[in-house]
Amino acid sequence: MDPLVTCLLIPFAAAIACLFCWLAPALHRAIAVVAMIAYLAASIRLFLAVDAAGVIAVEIGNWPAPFGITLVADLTSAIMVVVTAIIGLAVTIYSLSDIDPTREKFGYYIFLNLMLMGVTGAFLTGDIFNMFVWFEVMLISSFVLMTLGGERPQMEGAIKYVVLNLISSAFFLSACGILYAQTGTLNLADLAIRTRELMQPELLTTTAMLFLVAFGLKAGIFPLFFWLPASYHTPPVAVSAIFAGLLTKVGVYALVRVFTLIFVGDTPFTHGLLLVLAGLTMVSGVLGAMAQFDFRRLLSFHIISQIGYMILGLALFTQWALAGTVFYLFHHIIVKTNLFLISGITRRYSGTFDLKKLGGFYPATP
Amino acid sequence: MAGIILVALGVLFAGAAFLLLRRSVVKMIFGSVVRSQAVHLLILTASGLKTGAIPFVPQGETALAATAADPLPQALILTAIVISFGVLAFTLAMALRADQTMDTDDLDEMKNTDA
Repeated sequence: MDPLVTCLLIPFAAAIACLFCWLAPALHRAIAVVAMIAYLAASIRLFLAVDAAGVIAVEIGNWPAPFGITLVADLTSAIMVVVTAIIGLAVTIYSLSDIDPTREKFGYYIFLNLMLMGVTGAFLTGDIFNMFVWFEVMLISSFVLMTLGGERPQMEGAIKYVVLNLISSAFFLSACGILYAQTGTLNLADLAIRTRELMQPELLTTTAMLFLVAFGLKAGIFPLFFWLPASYHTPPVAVSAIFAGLLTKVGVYALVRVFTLIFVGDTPFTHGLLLVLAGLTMVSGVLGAMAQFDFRRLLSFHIISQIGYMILGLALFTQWALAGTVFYLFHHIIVKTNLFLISGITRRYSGTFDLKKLGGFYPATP
Repeated sequence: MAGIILVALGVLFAGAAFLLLRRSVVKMIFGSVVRSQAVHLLILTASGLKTGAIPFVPQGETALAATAADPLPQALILTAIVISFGVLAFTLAMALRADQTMDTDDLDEMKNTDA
């Protein structure tokens, strides 16, 4: 079977299988672990295929490229899928001991798998509207993971998270509509050619700003990050770890895609603006982190400043800067997820997330 | 025709912004519904309004007639409607649960998790 489609189908099949044994949460755990191992294997297979053959594309439903939906894997997206799989496996294993039975009973592993499918789809799609659909798959599953359990801080964080992400989806959708209206295509590669030929530069820049707001809200860049530290520390550790590792980075990945493929007409303005935003994001994230004493809140602010570094690479817009961005994305996903998981382990031993009370932790539990 | 729709778009977006800025969770959700309707209308209008034929390929031919309406914006809007419907169902359930756990509908009382 095609390596691209396999990567999407495995989490989906796992979610469906879990739905069939809804009443036996123990089976969910087994299915989730097996699925994640299979998914990791499939993603490595995809990576090797891309490494050997260059860019791979699949036309879904055998419709030829500009009309049908295409899935495309180049080296960047293949790397992102591999790291998604690694994180997925790590978080699933951590969840086995972290997630309480009530959450498991209400389908925790189902939504974890569906969210991973959404993330994979967003990385692999070659169609801007299809990307919107994968974003929604990912978002709706993440909303459920965020609210599952229904504790008070969770609900407070979730309301902000949900509403702001819905607003960013609306921006994304309007921008897709305008792009289609002007160029008559939604295929990313086709858009790259046609926007240069057909669109007025002013309108193109306006659309670029719509995309910047849409993905910027999801990625958490400077003026739009406030939902992130208000919500990421509220769900269980495993959930906040995978959110912190993957979700904002999908936003960064989407920004990198559209601002290297489509919106390269007026780089002094668009990438200049990105440069300013990246700098402000870096500074404000770190300043926010300095004032925090809650372990996970501190890490949430830290995500923001690191998003700034990634955007900086995109804004400089040279080959090496972009390579740096991709490298840092990869690195950051693994490290940040690990840091959140570590915060969970610390809390298990010491009973608190508060750094002020954590003194003397090392001598107590070496 | 386009003029009327443009005015409608403006009213919808303004109304959505007004509702989204309310303090009540339920009104905020209504705002997000109105806003998604506005976006659907925006896609339809931006892709060009015309009184054309139905976008079916006639029997024996391989392409659409030149007078046919463009089917793709309609497909986009249909997809977006389905998604926004699902999201609406979820947000309403979430608002209900939030009301049960917090016993309030006022966003100003939900600042405990803010940094």
